[in-house]
Amino acid sequence: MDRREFCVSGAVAVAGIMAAHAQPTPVPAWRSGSAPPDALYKVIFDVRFAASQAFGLAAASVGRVTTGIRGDVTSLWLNDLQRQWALSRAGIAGMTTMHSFFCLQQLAKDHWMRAIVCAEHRQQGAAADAQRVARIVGIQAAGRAPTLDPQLVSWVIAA
Amino acid sequence: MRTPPEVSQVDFASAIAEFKRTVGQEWVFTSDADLDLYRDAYSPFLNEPEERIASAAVAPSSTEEVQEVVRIANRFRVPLYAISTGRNLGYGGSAPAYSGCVVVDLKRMNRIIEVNEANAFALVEPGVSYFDLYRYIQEHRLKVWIGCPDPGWGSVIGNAIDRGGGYTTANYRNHFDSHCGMEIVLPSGELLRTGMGAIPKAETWQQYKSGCGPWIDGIFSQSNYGIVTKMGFWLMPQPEAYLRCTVSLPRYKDLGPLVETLNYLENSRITSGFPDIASPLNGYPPIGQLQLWNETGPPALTDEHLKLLASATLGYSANREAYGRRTGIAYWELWLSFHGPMEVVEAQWQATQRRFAAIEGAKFRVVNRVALPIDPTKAEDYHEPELGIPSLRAFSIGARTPWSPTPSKGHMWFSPIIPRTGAAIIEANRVFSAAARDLNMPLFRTFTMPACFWERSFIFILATPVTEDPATNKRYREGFKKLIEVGGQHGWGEYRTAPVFQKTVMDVYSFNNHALQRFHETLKDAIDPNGILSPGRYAIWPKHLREKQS
Repeated sequence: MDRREFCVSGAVAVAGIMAAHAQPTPVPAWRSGSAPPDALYKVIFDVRFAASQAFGLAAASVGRVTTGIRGDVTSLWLNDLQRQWALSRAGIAGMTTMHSFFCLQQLAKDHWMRAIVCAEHRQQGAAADAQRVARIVGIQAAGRAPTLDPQLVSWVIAA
Repeated sequence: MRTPPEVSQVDFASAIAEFKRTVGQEWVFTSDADLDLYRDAYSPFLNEPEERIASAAVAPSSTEEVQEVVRIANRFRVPLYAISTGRNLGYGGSAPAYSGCVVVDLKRMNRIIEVNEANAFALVEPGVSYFDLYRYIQEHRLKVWIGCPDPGWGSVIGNAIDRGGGYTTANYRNHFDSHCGMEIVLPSGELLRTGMGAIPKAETWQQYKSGCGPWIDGIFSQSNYGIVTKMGFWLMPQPEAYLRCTVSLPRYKDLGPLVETLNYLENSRITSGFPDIASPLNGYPPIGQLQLWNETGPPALTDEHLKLLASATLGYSANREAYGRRTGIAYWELWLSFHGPMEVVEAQWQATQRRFAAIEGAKFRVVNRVALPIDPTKAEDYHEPELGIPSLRAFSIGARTPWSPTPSKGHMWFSPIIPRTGAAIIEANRVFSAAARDLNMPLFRTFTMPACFWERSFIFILATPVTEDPATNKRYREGFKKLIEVGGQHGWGEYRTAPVFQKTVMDVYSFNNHALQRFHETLKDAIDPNGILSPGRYAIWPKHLREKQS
């Protein structure tokens, strides 16, 4: 786990408090370098796929905040992430279809955030990166390795 | 650190230092990781050395900062490339037309300066997305609609100055036409306001478009003559009701009368919304149903229908038509929508039916009869942009599904404008399908329907895939250029295109020995003598690069 992955996986509580009390400023703390490491804010899963549902359940069981989608990320963006990212570049992780991931990745660019892990399950060798995602989310530590589904991608987006 | 071409490392370092002093060092980006964010996600040069990349990015937060960035660029001859939010995927994204430019990223300029409900207009900055404007209108309970494209994450200004469109009524879905007043930072750094905005105490900047004297707004769209920092738009008053209906016609030869009748109805403002022509018998869906098809799968076809689909020429065979008449599957299906008071839209629908009843066998159906505003939780039941609601559902169209097992890595839009007649649809299919077959291009493989985004013309919007294989992408790029040329030989031109094709497209606009191109260049030399602003955008090169790029 590199420094960025460590920051994303570890600082949940601190960032949660920061987000709750932060006020929008012309220069967000994340750009001025004064903010603490941005943490994993939320885990996204797609309710249409059993493997993704299991991933979401496992994430919830280790204390992660989760949101289920059905492919489209419009509501997640409009009602949640857009506001959240205006305050703090908190990371997100997920197991979704490629097109959901693509949309979130593009939206994250608005905050100079990017995919730090992306495992397309249909690709050979995806298991290792999917395990990295599970480790960042904290699932692997709980002994639950993710099931792979060739229609899905495991990913982490962070600053 | 990457360096722009023809700029010394010392000069570039000095420019970067001055950019940092101007916008704050946290808003100047030079690391590879940050600059990768400005790559075109749908680049036709995926994983090839020719991919256009930025040397740096700078994100000003105000018009004054944009002016200063431009002045610095002039001092050091650093080429800039302005983007609003960089979301015109399929037309170039956020990558510069000329590799090595410094991207001027305007997404921090995201102020909604005014939304006037009483006279239905808005004034915004380039970083305002359709989502942002929609949210503002909802939160302030204003009774106006935005016109938004699929998808709705782009910049309101960016899509307008790239001359994109949406799905509401004709005068609002043409986004450049619906603008009223611009503020522009010229390549010299000077600030210009157009229309009534040129009056220092203007009270009607967003209420009267042209002001007095030459109306110059058009030259700041699809060009490199200035950076638009504010722009006004006319909004659509929220209608009381929405009526969505279809007209089905049974015979191939009905296509001509269908288009003629549609033209009369739309040009007379009897039908108001986005018209959408499908061909159920040819297996061609309406655009508004595409995302639903991709979410739930296309309608199942019988073996007999599938066999017939493989056998027709230019979408026609007598057997196919007979099959359609026997099974009740329409050859053509026109989706129409009406906005306004319920009694008005019902009357418009009655008049529409009366007109189409002149075509033998026409059948009519009401799909939605809706009092507005709709419950936002029910928006998914519709093609949201037709109700002025931004969405990202369009991306289901590119998703991997059981019925689309090998989605592309992106696409390049092939989008020629053709006349709005039935005969032109058939002729364009004849010409482009023959060319595409010769070029082994994955376009026009079946009879293809154009879209009605613009009032008096048709436009084809066809995705040429970007793949993971550079050799295939190269073949597609070359084929794409040939198709542009073939269109030009028949008098058809693209309305918009990605940087890689902009020269080929503009070469088609060649009347009188390329008089238009030469005029563009004359303007460029006069307005931007140092050639610092978006070199090469729509094939307008500054003098010092012109010969090298031609």
